[in-house]
Amino acid sequence: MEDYNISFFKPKSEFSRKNRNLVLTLVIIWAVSVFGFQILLKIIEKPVPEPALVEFNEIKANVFTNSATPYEKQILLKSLISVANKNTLNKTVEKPIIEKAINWAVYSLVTDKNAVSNNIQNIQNLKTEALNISDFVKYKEERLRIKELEKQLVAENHSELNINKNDIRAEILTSVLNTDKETLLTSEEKEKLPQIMNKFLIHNRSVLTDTTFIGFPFHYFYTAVFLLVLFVGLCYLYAKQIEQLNKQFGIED
Amino acid sequence: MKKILIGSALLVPLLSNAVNVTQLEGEFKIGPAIILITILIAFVMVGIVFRAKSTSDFYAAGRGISKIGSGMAIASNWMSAASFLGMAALMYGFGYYGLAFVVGWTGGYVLLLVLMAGQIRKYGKYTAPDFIGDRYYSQKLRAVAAIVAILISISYCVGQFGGIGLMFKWILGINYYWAVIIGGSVVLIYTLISGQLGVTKNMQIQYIIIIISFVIPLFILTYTFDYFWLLPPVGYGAVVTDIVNGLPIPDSEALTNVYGNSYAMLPNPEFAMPWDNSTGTDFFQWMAVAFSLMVGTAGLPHVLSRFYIVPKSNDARWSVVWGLFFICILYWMAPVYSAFGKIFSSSPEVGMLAKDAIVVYTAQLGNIHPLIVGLLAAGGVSAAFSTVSGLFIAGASAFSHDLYFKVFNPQASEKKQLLMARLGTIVMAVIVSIIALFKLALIGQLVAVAFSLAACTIFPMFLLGIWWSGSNQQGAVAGLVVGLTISLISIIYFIATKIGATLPLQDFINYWLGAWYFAWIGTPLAIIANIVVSKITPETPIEIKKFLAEQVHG
Repeated sequence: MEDYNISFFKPKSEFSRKNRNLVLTLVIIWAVSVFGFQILLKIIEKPVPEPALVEFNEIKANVFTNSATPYEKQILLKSLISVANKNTLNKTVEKPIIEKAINWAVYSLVTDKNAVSNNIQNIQNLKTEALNISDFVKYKEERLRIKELEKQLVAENHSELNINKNDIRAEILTSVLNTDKETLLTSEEKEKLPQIMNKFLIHNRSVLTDTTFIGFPFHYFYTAVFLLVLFVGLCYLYAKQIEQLNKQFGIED
Repeated sequence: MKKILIGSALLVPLLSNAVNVTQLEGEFKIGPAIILITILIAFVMVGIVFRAKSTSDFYAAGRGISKIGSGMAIASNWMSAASFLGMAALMYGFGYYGLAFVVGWTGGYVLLLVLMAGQIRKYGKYTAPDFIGDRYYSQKLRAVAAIVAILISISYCVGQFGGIGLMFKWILGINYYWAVIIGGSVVLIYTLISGQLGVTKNMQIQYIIIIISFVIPLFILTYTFDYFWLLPPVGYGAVVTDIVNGLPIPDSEALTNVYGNSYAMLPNPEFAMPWDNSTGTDFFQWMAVAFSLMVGTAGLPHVLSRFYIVPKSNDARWSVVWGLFFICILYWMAPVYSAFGKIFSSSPEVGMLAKDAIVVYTAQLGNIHPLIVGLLAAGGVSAAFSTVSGLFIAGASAFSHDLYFKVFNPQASEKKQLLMARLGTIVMAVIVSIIALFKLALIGQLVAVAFSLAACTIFPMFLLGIWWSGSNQQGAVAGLVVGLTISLISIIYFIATKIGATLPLQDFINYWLGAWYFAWIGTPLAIIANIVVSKITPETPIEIKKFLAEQVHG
């Protein structure tokens, strides 16, 4: 009786053997390229803190014992702003704590708290009113005017906050600052603050993430662009090769 | 007809007014609404012109579609709301983790091609349950496979209806619930009218609309913000690096988002660094998602059914190559939206936006003309429509052909089968709409559930059914039981967590058998179960082995 058994790993004809070898080669290239690269990325990575976290860790003890110098508070402020700029902050827990800490830092640094508070109130009012402007050109003009007011506020307090009015930090700061001059962090919030800073300011990095390739971090280019090119290439190669094999062995559809 | 449709599409921008671009949501948008309606009318017209006239047309489009045409249909069928809206959403919200979805939803085509496409066409069946019932010589397995195919289609459609709801909500300014109901009704009517032949023609048109609508805003954004705009998928590399290293306030005051926040940010390496702690995802999840999506790709009934509609197995193979290429065009570009969206919303004033709408929001925040944003939203609807119609066909085919005709009523006339297919489509649409209203997860995540389900159930039966004649009925049943058990555990825990119920080992199961990646373990276990049980039970009948050897591998 004829043997009709089929097994991928035990091909019976020359065509099946060649097809199996082709499939195995392509699948191995595919698997190594996708998963091998990610494993390599994992093996060589190291948790690297952002400079903002390093500075925060140096001054946090003094801040929590209320013995921080103005310079240390300025460092704290900058570190906090670095996290405030991350929109992945949890809106119910993390964001309020960071914004509260920024408020506390600012009002404990500036000498004329009332002036800052009034200015912030004024800016917030103007921003709310601007949202009702239907003409887009006028809206943009109004926003530019508000931006000048924000810069002015930061410039007036530059000696105390040590933030330049043309720095993106100035824009972030005035976005999160509120009018509450007496903000204090609770002990629970103080406990959570370093955890939030660690969560957002430590990243897995390696030579593969720090090397730039046609503008991309290399690993990002590899995964987002190259792998897709490779997939199309592998498919093209297979379709071509199998077409040739079919021709070679006289196999018809 | 074509001239009229093209002409009316070109007239739309002249007839409509600009809307208040500072408002991301909330009001009826006349320009985008006209664009959407024009596109939908065009779809229905094409559906009517090429509508199904027999069951063969309804299921497999008469097997008369060209390689490139079929490739476009594969791409359009594939590029759903999950690709159009969901991928950018995942990268925007979870950074590098989102790329696991990009890789997973493309890499699976390599497996599909080298392991299945040509062989499936040679086997010569209409639907996935048809193949399973025939290969494993069991009407019961056919029925179970049909039910699984319907479940996969429903699970996949839930995410699509979520996307349709979001876009209808954005355009019409109505609430999400009404948007789902209206959008769902429109896609249902159009699928019922057209069937697969019309759907396939529509898919080619939809592909073009999807790509054009997706690409235009990216050229504008890269040009406006001074990146290499000629090739946005390359040009955005500098955007990613700017996000990682930080971006100072530009000299030009015009470079702002629509709210007037400067195009600038402090370093945000978490956007690109692998499995960053702040994203709440890790290395295991990245690998598990990528694997599950890849294997799931090769097990999705509506994808597998695309290979029945090409004339030859060689065409089936080339249609995958073309399909993947067309798919990748969109997948290379999706991360661009998330990158720009990240910078535009970095100001605490804007903050994290609704992730699934980030594609449209990015275009709005980048101050792109409202009509182009409207076209983009219409493209999103088009992407969801093309996939939903394919899924409805696959589900309806499983219901009418594999359950009703093959199992319950083999004497049913063609007319009766077609009626049952249409009835099945309506029932599916109602179920999907109801589930979609609950907004259980992000679009991409909901769709990923369908992939894991397919990977644990359909994929092992196809893989072993094609490549190992030793896999028998008992083995297939064992594999299916294992795959379904793991799927059920994962999905039950997922739903329990969503509704706030407590189950034993909840955190453990939710992590190791996450709803969007449980196939990482489910698929290998289902394959092992199939092999072990096949080895210890009676052999596959000789006629099945002969058919495999002569027709499929001969």
